[in-house]
Amino acid sequence: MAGCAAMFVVAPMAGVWLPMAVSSHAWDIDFLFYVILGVTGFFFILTEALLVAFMYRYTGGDAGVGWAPSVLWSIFKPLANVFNSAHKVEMAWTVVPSLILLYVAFAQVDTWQDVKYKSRLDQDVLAKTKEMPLQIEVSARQFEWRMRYPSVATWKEWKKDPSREKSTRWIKNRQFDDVLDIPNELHVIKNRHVVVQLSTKDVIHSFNSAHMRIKQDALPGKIIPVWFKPIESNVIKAKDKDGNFIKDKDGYYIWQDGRGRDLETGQPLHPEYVWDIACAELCGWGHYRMVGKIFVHPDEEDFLAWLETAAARERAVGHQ
Amino acid sequence: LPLFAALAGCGGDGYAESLTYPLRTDPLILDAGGKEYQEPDRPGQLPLLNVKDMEDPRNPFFDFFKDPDSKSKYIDPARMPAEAQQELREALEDLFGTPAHPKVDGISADSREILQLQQQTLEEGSRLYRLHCVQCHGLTGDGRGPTAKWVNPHPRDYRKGLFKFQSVDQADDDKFFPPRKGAPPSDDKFRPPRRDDLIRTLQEGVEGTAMQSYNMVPEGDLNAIVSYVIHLSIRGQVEEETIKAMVPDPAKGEFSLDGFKSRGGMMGYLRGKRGAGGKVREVVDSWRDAQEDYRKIRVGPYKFKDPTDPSATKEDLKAFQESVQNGYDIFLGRGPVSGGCTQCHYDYGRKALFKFDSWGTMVRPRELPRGHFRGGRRPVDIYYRIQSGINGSGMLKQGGLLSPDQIWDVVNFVRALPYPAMRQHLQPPAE
Repeated sequence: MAGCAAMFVVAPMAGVWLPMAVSSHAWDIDFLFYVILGVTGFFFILTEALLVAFMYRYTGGDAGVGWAPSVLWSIFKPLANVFNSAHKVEMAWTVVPSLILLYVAFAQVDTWQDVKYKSRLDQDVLAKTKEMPLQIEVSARQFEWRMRYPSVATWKEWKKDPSREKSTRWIKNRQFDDVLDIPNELHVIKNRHVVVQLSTKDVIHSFNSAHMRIKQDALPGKIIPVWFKPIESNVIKAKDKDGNFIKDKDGYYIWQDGRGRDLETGQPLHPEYVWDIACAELCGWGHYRMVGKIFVHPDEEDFLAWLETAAARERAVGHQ
Repeated sequence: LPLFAALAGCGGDGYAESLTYPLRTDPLILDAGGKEYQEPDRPGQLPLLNVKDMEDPRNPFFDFFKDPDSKSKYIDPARMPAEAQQELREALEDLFGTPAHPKVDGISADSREILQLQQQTLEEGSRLYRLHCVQCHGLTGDGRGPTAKWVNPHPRDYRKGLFKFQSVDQADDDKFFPPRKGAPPSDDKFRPPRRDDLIRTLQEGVEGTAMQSYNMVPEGDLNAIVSYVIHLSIRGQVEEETIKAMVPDPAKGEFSLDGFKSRGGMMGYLRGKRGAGGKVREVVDSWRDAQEDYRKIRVGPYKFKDPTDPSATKEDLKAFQESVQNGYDIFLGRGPVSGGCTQCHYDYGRKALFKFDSWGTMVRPRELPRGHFRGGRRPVDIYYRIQSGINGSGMLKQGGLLSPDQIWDVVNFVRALPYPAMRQHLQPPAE
C-alpha cells in the first residue's frame, strides 16, 4: 500500500514521473496526465486492496460460514445497505465511470486543439501577437531526422512580412539553393513558436519529444505541421576556461546543449538539459537509434549567429 | 539481475571470441563490361554472394556469365583448393586477427600512428561497427550484410580500398598548380580516402541512399569506427590481391601457389622478405600516402559571391551569371572546352542509364536537376567530385583538363540546375 501511495502520490510531486517540461503547453498535458493518473490510481489501489482483503477474509472454510461481524464488514455495511440490488450496483458502476470519462473528454478538448491544430495557432496566437513563427522542415527517414532551415536572408525577409503564406512557401515550392540541410539537430529559439513541417521519405515515423510534450506521426505523402513553444533554453556557445569562445578544427564556433559540455569528456554539464527527439513508431531495425537533439537558443540573436555559422559551413568553397 | 541480463542476450555488444573472418566467396569481377541497362537490379539480386547467383536468368550478370569470353573477366574463389584456402585463412588471421581482436600486423609504427590502427582502437571500433554498421556492410566489410540485398544503392564494399567521396587528389593536377612538395611521382592507381573524408561521410550520411547520418555518435567513437573500416579495407585488399596472384590466367581459372615459391611462400608474399615490403606494407603505404597533405585536392580560389548572399551587388550577380553560363557551355561541350559530361549524364542525368561499377553493383550517373548530391552539397564537395572523379563509379576526373576556374563554373552551374527560379534569375540578359 505504501509503495502504491508512493508511486501515485509522492512520485508526481517529486517530479519522477515525467521529464522536465519545457514547452508552453506542457503544463496542460501534465495536468491531464496527473488527473488521469490520480483517478486510475485511486481505483487501482481501491480494487487491489479489496481483492487482497477479500482473499484473506474468505480463504478456506465453507462459503457462508464466518459471516460474523468484522472490521471489514463494518466498513462496507453502509455501502451494502445502499447497493442492495443488482440494479443499483450496475447503475453505480456505469454512471461513475461515465462521469469520469465525460470529465476527461471535456477537459482535454482545449488542450488537444491548441496542441494539434495549427490553424488555432495562426488565429489565436500569431494573429494577435504578430509574432513570426520559426518554420523548420523536418523530414524523417530510416534512420535519421533531416532538418531544413531557412537561410538568414529568408529569415530577414519574413521579418519584414510575417504572413503565413510567405513563411510556408519555401517549403512547398523551393526556388533557390538557400536552405540549410542539417541532420538530427533541431535548433529553435526560446519563447518563440516553432512550426515543424513534418514529412517522411519512406515509412511511418513519429516525431516525439518528451521534454516538449509533443508526439506526432509522420505519414508518407503528407506534410503535417507540428508546433510548440520552448520556454527554457539549453544551449550555450562553447567557451574555454578563460571565457574565450572556442572553435572546432574547421574554424567554426560551437554551440553545445546540456547548458555546456565538459571540454575533456564531452559529457553535458547538466544532463537534464539534453533534450532528445526520438522516433516513437517502430520503423525498422535501426529504430532504436533514430535520435535527434533539440537545441533551444536563448534568443534570436544567438540563433541567427548559429544559423550564419551553419550556413558558412554549408557554403564552404575551400579546404577545412 | 546479471542472470536476467545474460538470458536476454545482453552479455556484451562485441563479437564472440571464437568468431573468425570468413574467406570471400563472391567472384572477383575483373571487368564487368560497359553494357548499359534501363533498370537497376531487382531487390535481392545484387551484390553477388557466389558464382551461382549469376546463373539466375533474371540476374543482370546472366548475359555476362553466359558469354564464353567472360571466363577471363572474373575469378571464382570457390575453385580455390582446400589447402590454399587453409593457408590463406591462416595467413590473414595471423595478420589481421579476428573480429573480436582485430589488428594489422607487420606495419611500421608511424603508419600505425597516422592511420590510428592501434589494437585498442581497433577493438573499440569493432565493437561499435557491430553495433552500427554490420547489418549492411557485413562482417568482413564486403557490403553484403543481411540488409544489403534489399537496399539500393547497395552498401559500400570496403574490400577494394575504393571509396567514392573523398578529398584525395586522383588527378595529380600539375598543369594549373605548382608541383607538389615532397610528393612521389604520380601513378595511375586509385588512391584511398583520408580519415577526415570517412568521418565526414559518417557524420553527414549519404543523401539519397540508406546510409544515414551518425552525427549523434560521439566523435571519438566515429574515429574508432573509421580505424576499423580502414582495417577491414586493408584486409580485403590484401585478400583480393593474394587471390589474384594465385590465378595467373583467369581464363583457365586454375589456382596455383607456384607464384609464391620465389617469394618465400604466401607469408613471404604478404609480409615481405628480407627487408623488401610485402603486400600488406604496400597496401598500408597507399593508405598512409593518402593522408599526406600533398595528396589533398588543391582547390582554386572561389571568386564569386553567392547570389542569395544579402551583401551581393549587381556586379557580383553578373559575375555569377557569367560563371553559370560558362559552366553550362562546358557541361554541354559547346564552348572552347568540354567536360564531356553529357556522355553519361544524358539530358542532365534525367535519361542516364545503369552500368556496372568496380564493385560489381549497378550505378547510375547522378540526375542533376534533382539536387541530391551524395558526396555532400557544399560547393567544395562538388568541386572535389569534378576534379578527382568518383572512384569506382566511372565518373572521370577533370583535374588537369579543366582549369580550377572552369571547374568552379561547372560547380556553379550544377548548383543552379535544380532550381528553376534560380536558373531564370541567373540567365544573362539577352543581347
